[in-house]
Amino acid sequence: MSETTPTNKPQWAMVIDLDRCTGCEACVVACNVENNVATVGAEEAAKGRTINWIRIERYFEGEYPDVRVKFRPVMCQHCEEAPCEPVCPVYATYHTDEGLNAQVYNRCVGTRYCANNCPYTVRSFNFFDHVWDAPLQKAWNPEVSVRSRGVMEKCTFCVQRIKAGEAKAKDENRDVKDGDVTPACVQTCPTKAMYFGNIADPTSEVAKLSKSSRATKLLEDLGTKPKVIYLNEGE
Amino acid sequence: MKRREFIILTGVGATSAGMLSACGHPEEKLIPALIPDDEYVPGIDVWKASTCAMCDAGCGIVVRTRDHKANKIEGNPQHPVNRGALCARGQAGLQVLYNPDRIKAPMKRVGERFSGQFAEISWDEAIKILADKLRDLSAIGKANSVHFFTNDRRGMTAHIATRFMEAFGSHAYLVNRLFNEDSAISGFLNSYPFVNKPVFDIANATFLLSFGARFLETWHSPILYSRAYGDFRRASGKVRGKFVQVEPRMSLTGANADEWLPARVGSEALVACAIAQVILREGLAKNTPDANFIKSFEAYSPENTAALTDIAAEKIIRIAREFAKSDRPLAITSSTIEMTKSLASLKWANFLNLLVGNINQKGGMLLLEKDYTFPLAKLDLPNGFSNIDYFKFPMMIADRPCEILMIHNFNPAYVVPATKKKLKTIPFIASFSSFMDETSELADLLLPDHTSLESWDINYAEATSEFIVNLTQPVVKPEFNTKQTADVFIALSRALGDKVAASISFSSIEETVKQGFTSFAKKETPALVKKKAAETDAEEDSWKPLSEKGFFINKLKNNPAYELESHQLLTNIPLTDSLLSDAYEDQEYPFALLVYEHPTLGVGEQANLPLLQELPDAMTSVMWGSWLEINPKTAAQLGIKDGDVVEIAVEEVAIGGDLRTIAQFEPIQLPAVLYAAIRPDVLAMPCGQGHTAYGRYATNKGVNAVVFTIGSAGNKRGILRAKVKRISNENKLIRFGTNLPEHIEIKR
Repeated sequence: MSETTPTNKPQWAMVIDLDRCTGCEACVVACNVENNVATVGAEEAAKGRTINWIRIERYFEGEYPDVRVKFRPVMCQHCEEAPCEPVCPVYATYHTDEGLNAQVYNRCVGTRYCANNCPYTVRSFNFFDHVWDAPLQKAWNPEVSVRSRGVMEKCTFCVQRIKAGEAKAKDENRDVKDGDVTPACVQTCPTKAMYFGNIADPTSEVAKLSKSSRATKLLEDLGTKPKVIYLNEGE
Repeated sequence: MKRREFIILTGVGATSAGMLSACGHPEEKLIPALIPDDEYVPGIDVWKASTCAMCDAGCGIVVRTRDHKANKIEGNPQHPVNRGALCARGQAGLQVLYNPDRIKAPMKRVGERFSGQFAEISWDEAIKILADKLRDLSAIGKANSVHFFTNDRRGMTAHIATRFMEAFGSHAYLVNRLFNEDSAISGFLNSYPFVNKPVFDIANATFLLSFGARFLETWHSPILYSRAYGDFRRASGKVRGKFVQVEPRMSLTGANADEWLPARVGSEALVACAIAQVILREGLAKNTPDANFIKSFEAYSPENTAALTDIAAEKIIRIAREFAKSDRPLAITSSTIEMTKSLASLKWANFLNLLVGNINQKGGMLLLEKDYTFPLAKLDLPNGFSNIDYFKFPMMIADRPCEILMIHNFNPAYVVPATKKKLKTIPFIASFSSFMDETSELADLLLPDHTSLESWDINYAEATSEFIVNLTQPVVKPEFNTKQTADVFIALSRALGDKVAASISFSSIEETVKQGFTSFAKKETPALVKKKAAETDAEEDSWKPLSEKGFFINKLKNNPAYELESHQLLTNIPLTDSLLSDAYEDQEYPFALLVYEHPTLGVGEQANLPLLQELPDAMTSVMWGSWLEINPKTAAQLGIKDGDVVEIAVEEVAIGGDLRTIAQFEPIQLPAVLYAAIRPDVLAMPCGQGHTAYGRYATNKGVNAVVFTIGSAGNKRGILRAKVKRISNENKLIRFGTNLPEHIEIKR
């Protein structure tokens, strides 16, 4: 948990409109490809060792025949008061001044305290070195490091895209604006259910949407102050 | 250190320091100048436009490549179908290109036939082997015993193959999709010559009534309609649309509905009729048929049909009123074999659209002019194909002499495993598949095709009110020693000479696509062979922007005459009472078995992609396998718990003709999933798994459900009846999160 100091840096946040989300999981695959997330195979998957930076939660409500289903994409919520941060003995996970919950892979020693402490269970641990059957590794994104055994990993809000977007804005001598940074999940979403931007900028789409009467945060009462805002279904 | 500083420090930029300060993105200007090959810019992304080939929708893609490697596919933001979005299948496209189980070079069989032992050969040798075989057959007058099958439905392969095969003296066949949505217009609408496949304006509708149409997953154009769905729900300045889905098993699409109506299997058409009857008797229709029709239609009242549909009359009446009184109501329906009596559903769903008068209206059903011919027809290629349904394949090869079978991206040994026996009697099989699938295993010669990201092609987009012509072009150099099948045909035609050689005038598929695409875009009739060398430069100029964009658009008109005729249409509806027959009951086989297309694995084409195998199913969270969905109450009666292995046995069905011999099904075992959103009298299982070949990720995962579709397709009643029993509690389900049992008994 960082001290909150006034900053003029962008504060990255995401808004997800659950009324538009269909649970199609395009975001999940887009994330896996963009961030070199490994597939572990049937055997390890059966032990619950899959790596997921984003997942679709599904809830059945009611009994047959009056069944309704709700979907909710869940990734690292980049909490302002992140429970995972203070428990890391080696400062591998910490809060950046842009509001990101960062994970430094080469600091991580694999205590898994952070995953234990995360109420959203969005952290995945690399229990082993992954095998990429050649030539699958040719599809690796060169901007994202490939994690090895003993390291915790999770959603970064596509920090490589954030850095590229900020560099572009700097090149053009201006502040970042909507559209400069689009994480892989947001870019691919078929129903345009996801929005990403600088919530500190009141003119940004996420800042406006976060004031909607439909806006909620996941497990808000824990006081984690998530940076992912969900817009509920309905009017 | 930043890139910019690095460039300056290393002196690369020193000589151009003045220029550096003048341009916004120094690296973009500098490095290409140093390394002239604009394909190869170390460390810099090059984006290539092409077309997604993971389904038939025809979404535009842009592929990020760096250092000759493709590393991400995104939707093409300009493309009218997907506007930058892409689905799970499309996102996984790179694993087709870089799949470790691709056939890496042409090969010939070396061991016994069907032993699966192959040795690598050169392309020259491979083409010579096939050309010699063809020449020998032709010499003894048996040219017509050579058959070519492809399921490349939208591209040029079928065109070029048809041209080749016809010149040779035989036929090429185009195999339809297993879950074929092509008959989206049927019955009474079909007889109108101006009517083409309709487009549905879901985005602007205010009430959407869907009869089993899985428009968010597999129906027509999933991204186009997903985008529309987003706006249907929450476009600014529009009321939130209401969505009702009628289907016996809740699909991912149904899961997004406001209301789910689990009508009895095969009674969707009846539900549509009951809704129509309420609209007519309450005078809510904008267009009305004549009084006689309305009178005879009284038999279809919700009160009369409730017992058959298992939907309460009050519910039907309420939905009918909501539908008809809504500003812009719209009815859509599936026409696949997932849905029995789907043609009747099509007819009566379209009838609802006629009643509320939404044809060619905002938020309605858009009918487009019929002049929708494939642009490639202008390339002096044959206009029509011989289309066949996949389940006719066994009959076709049984009916006619077959000396050589050439097969491209179609896998009969998987979709109809019983056909293997017949395949083995064919003296010579050449496979053009990129992967060692079940059919290729039986082949004598392997001529692996490029994957889509290495190929040249022209095709068109599905379900749009504009006619969009898509370009497929290589985004990277071929990964392996493969050759595009169209080029193989060109080489074959040259080897055979004479009229076969004359049948294909162009020298390569690349040349054909480049010139053809440019000419279409300029709305010229292409004159491919007559191009002179001097004209090449001008051609280059128009090619570059087109290849960067990846598509072009021709507008289609709605037919203005249509509205005038809708009243007339209504008077011509044949009313048959076959829908009113009693629901089928069977004591021994109490369940209807629904086999549906897997949202991401399709009918098994994508089962070899680890990304999609490990993607938890949206409704059940299952990965890496098959499952059987069963209502929890039914399961409790049968003593089946979630994850138990169950066995399903299917009744013998009376299927006519040669299908009879192959429509016998062995009982199969698979894990059960207790699924809250399925009728108690229905069992459902997804297709996609159960491969016995097709690479390491697909082989021996789950069971092959596709085999059952032939039973439903060839069966008069349109549905298979099944029984189920529990076998063991050995939990073989692999689910997202963990598979650990909730209660662990420790034996002491």
